[in-house]
Amino acid sequence: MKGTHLGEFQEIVMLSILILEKNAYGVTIQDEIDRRMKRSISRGALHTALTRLEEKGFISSGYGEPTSERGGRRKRFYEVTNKGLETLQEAKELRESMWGLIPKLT
Amino acid sequence: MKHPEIPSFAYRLFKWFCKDPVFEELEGDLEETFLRNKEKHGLNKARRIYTLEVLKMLRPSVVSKPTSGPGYQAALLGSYVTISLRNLKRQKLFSFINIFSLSVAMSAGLLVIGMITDLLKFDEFHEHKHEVYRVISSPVYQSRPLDVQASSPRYLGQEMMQHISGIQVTNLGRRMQGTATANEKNIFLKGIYADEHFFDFLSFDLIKGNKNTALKEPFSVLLSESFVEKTFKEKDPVGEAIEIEGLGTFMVTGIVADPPQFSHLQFEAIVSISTTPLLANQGVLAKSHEQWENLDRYYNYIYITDNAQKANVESWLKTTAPTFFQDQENFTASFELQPINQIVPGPDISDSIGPKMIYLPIIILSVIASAILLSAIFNYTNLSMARSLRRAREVGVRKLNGASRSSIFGQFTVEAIILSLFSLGLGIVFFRFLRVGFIGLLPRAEEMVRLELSPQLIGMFLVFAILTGLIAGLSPSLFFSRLSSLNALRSGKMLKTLSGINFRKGLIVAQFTLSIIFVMAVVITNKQYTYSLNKDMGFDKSNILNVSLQGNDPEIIRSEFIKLPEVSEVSFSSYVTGVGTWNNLQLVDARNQDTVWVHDLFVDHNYLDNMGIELLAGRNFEAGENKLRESTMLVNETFVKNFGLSSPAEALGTVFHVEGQSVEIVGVIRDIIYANLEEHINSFVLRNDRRYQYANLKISSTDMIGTLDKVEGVWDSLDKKHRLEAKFMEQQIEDYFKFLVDFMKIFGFVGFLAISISSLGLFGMALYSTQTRMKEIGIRKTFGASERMLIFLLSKGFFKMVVLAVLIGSPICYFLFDKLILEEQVYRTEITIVEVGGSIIFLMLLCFLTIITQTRNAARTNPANVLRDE
Repeated sequence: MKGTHLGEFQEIVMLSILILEKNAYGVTIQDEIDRRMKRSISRGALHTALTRLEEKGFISSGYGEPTSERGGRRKRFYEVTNKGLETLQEAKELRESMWGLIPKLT
Repeated sequence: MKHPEIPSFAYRLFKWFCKDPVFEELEGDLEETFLRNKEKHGLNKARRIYTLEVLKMLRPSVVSKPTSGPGYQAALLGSYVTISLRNLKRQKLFSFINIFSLSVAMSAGLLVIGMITDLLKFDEFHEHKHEVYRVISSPVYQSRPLDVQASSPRYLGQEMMQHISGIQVTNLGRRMQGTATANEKNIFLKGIYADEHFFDFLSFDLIKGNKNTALKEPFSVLLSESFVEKTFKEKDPVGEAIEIEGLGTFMVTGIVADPPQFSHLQFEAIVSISTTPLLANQGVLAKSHEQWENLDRYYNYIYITDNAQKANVESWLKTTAPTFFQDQENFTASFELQPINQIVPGPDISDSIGPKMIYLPIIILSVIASAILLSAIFNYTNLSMARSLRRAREVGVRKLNGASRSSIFGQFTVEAIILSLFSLGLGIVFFRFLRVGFIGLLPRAEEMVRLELSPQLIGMFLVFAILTGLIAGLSPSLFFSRLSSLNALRSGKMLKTLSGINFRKGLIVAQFTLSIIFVMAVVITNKQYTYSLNKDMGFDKSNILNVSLQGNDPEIIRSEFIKLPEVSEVSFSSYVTGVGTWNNLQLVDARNQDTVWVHDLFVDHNYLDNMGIELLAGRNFEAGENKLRESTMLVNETFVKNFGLSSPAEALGTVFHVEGQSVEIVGVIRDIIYANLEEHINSFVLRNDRRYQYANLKISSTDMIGTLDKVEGVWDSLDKKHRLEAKFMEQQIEDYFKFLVDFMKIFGFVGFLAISISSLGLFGMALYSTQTRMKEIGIRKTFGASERMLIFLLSKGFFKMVVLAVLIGSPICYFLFDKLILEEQVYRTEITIVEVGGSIIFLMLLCFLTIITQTRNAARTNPANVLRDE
């Protein structure tokens, strides 16, 4: 089922990328998730999720210009593809429709 | 270019394991985080976090795949295995032929490995196995060397201990046996004699009793656990008396654990060796046994802890020991030390104390097993080469894609090893089935080998299988790895030169040569066996039941057995004729005092009639004529001839001194084969009225089993102590030739293996060679070749090989049997054209059937199907 399934963590990563708009690269995504979820994740774990998402075609990436702040190394910026957006949308709708079906909620 | 404050170990580690394409991004991110953390938490914490982050990077998405080193090798091996399994699966028939023939061959190898492993376990249980030696003797009689003996003079050890300090010696004796009466039960008991030092350095366990004193006093006995279970059961035997028939009454002083299976010393009981001088005084044992000149029956085991001592012992044995011989000119011996763990398997030494296994049969079996295994390996090589057309393309493509020679080599080697491991699986199944039969092939092997699958043995099997795979894969691997990609892809034309056609043919011829040899061996041995059973031995062996007297009075035996209606006559003899027994006797001519050596047999006056032995001249014994004093004897034709007389009648009346008595020849009988078919008939004398060991019952009933029951009933009423020991003479003679049946079994088994392996190989070759010739066949067919012509054309090549094998193999086998094996027998069958031709026809027919299935299929295919692509 590789290619269609969207894990919870992966969904959060994609949402973070969307929030960050043009400034979504490793460190910022990590910060965003830290802040929103009050949960510290390792850069390695994030990398795995990003690789998966890219394999599935939900996000794409490209290198930015070299910056001096990180020893001249380029950043890799991520953005959500249309396919990714659709999948996020579907996931959201599915949830909302299911929430709607719950008879009573206090 | 890392930031100077970043921990360099973590950095280097990360750089080492990280995939190239993601390194820049991740390292950049890590450094950025590091710098921020430094601001926030200080340098130390930032460094710690950095290191931790690096370690958390150890995940498949980050870590690069190895391209060299052990990890890479493992990955490569994994790929070899996958591809090999795919190949095996794709080529089902090829794999089946190879796995089946290899596993059949391996089962033979496994049996031999199992046997050798078992034999090597012998006497390994001794704690001091490296320090215990046995003294063996090489006697010399009138400067003529005799057989090397495992035994040595009775008191050699004691003398040695007095001369050399610091060594320990135990003195053992064999042939302590007889029917034992213990706890009111009569059971045959077999054991050894030993002195009180027996337990000092040999690792046998004493369960009950005192190690140092149990074997000290004369007439003490230690019983083994299993013997106690059979007799005393729960009762404590210590302090009880048991009687051993012929030896006396013994006091049980303890219980000894059963000797381990892999021990050359086997016993059910141990009697104190101090008993033997007393037995000699009583006349039970010969007095000469105690003398230095007697090298039989007694054994000295020595415990030597260091090399200097060993040198002392050796020099004492060399210089001092022989001086104890009374008459060194006439009879002397040299002595040597034999390490205890080299007794089984060991050199061929006579007078062994326990089971023995000499090297020769082990070597023969190993050679046969290797030959069979090689044959199966040939098959693999052969078929792999035959498939080279198909595989060559694969190799070409691989090489074009950058595969190195070594990786092609690796691929083919792994393929062979995997095949070999599969064969091992099947081979172990065969091994389990063949185990019992194999043990039965070797004389006395059932006492010595168990062939039980232990983890250790399985480990050895695995090593064996991997080695087999390596050898089998070697030549295909070399061949394929040497192929240049150009040649490999040009295929077709190269096939003949590439696949070493002559080499392959040679291998097939070698296999069939082995096959024909074994087929002929079985046929010839079978003929000799039938011949031996049907040979007229000069006496009538049918319907004779030989009953061992076991010390009973012949008169009583006769009077009781003759009462049975099924028994028509009873005679007596001192041994059973025709089963390899004979007895030497010295006769002195009464006229000129010349001595002659003859063979003798004691019989009563009913013997000749009972056995249907023909009297040529003179008369038979008369009842009771030799009872008080021996005065008459009968001789055979050969005796008359050897004595230089022209007719049997002339011999009558001649008088000889026999054991101090004057005995006259009163009759001459026709020659009978009294010993066996391997020996010439010698001068033979029948003597009368003493030393009977067997009653010969002539049975007139056809119900043999019913009669045997009745005989047993009579016996049990006569002798309460011994069990009936009776055998039909025909059966005894058949048993005597059992060794020929054993031969047939071995040849048959090996022949079966050889034939099945070579037929499978031939089948595979026929299959592939017809497949590669399909187009040729198609073209020939379109031009009008008939089916029969095509079959002939395709089979011709294979038949040539088989014929060549027959031409090589049958003369080898013929000479092997005619000049070497059968030559040992005086009375032997002749090898005729029937046996030779029959074996050849059998083998040819088998080959024909093997080839015809393939060639007929090929000849019958519709040419349109084959040539459609052209």
